[in-house]
Amino acid sequence: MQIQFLLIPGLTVVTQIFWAKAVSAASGPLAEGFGREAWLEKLHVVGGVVLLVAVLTVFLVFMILKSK
Amino acid sequence: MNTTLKRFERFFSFEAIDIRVVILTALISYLLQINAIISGDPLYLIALYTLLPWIPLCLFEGVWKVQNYSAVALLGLFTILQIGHFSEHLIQVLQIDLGNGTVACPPPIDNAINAARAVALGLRDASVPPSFYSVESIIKPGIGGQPILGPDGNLVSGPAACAVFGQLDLEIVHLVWELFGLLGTAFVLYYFRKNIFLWVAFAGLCWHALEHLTITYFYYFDQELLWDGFRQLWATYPAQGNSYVAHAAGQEASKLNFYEAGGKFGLMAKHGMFEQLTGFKGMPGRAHLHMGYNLFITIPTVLGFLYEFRTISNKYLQLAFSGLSKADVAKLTQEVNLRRFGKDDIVFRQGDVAEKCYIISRGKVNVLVENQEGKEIVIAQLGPGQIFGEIGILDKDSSTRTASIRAENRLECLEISASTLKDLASGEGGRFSSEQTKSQLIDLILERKDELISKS
Repeated sequence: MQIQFLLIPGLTVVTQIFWAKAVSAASGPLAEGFGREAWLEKLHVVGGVVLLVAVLTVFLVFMILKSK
Repeated sequence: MNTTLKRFERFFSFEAIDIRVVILTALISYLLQINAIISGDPLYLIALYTLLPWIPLCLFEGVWKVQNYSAVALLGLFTILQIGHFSEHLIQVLQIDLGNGTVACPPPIDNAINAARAVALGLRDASVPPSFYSVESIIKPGIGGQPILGPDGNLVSGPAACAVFGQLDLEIVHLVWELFGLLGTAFVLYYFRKNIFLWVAFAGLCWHALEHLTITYFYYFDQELLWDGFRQLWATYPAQGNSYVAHAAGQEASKLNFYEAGGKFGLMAKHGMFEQLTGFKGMPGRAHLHMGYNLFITIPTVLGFLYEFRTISNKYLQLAFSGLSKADVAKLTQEVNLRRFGKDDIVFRQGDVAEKCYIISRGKVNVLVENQEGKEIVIAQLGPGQIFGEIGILDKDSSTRTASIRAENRLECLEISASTLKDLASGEGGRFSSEQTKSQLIDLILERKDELISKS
């Protein structure tokens, strides 16, 4: 029963991806020269954030599961 | 279904606050709201004035509910806040899709620069000073930053698509809310660690944190101006009362930092990192994607709350009747009434007819009996989680009160009817079917009758 409920948010996100194609006006333009290379130069920032969130998640899960 | 509705009605009503205070607050809120509407205040101020008087009441009620219903109340309050946050995202998307809204969040301000531009364009009188209010209506800019004309030749305008409070794309608001949600969900998971819905919400929040921590880093810590781009210019003027319009007024060439150049789209939105690195086109815009993220978090949070809500029970009833099952305490919780007494108030007097019994949820009471000289003496003091008034209802030898009860200080009690108490004491086969509770009540009556005899 619970697993069926979990499908609802998943389906909603999938629907969002297809539905939102028609309404991209709000996104605004990219600056001249901004693209793949710009992001590649910032991958260390993204990597740092991924590491930070991973450590935070493991810490929180450990605290949650620690016996009362 | 009827029971669930009753449980909802009880939980989401003001239990701890006098109805007169609630009515007075509603009246103040309504007057402030009407005044803001008549003054022509923007939507976020109307909403703020409407909500403001309720904040102290909700805080007081929230603390009371957490004290009485424990972690489920905390989860309930947290769920309401999460629904509120999701609603802001939903309203923003509706403003964009249905209201011709423009994402310019935070919306342009009617400051001296924008006002001067409006004067130059002949949109506003030079004698009207700038207000520094945010605008609510935006005339949409097209390529080059000039206003778009619709098929009918008129300017295309819509709301500033920043939801009700106008702060949706302030990066720090997103980050603070995201971290509040993440830590809050972790906190309630500590109490409900078997709740799979909350684990799903927690996973969604962890993923969402990646987006906001990355975007916020670029916003605050990467200020180098490296990219050629344009900044949208606005001319602002008053429309009605305190409502202002932002008129698209062209663009100015400018050097942009990483955030302004494209970092604001984050990891997975249209124009974001995923599209740039993979070449894939077709991700939703940031407003839509983040509404989706919040939906993915809000739905399991709501389901997780509803799952725990089925067995919501009062902490003090659990303390008083430790032999009852969780389901039975939940059932009993729906049958009690909250009663309040002031310091030195008499709850009942010795000799009164016994119709109710009480569980203390706050404060203390003194148990008084008349001795042989007719003088009242204190024979016991009772505190939170303890029961009184049960002897006159359950003892076959007595149908009246065997002692008087006086509040030692401010007192809150859960009132149980005689029939419910008899059900509790009926043991196996009864409505609550707990032999342990039956024995507990019999032992308590015997013990207290002995105490009465020995001390009076």
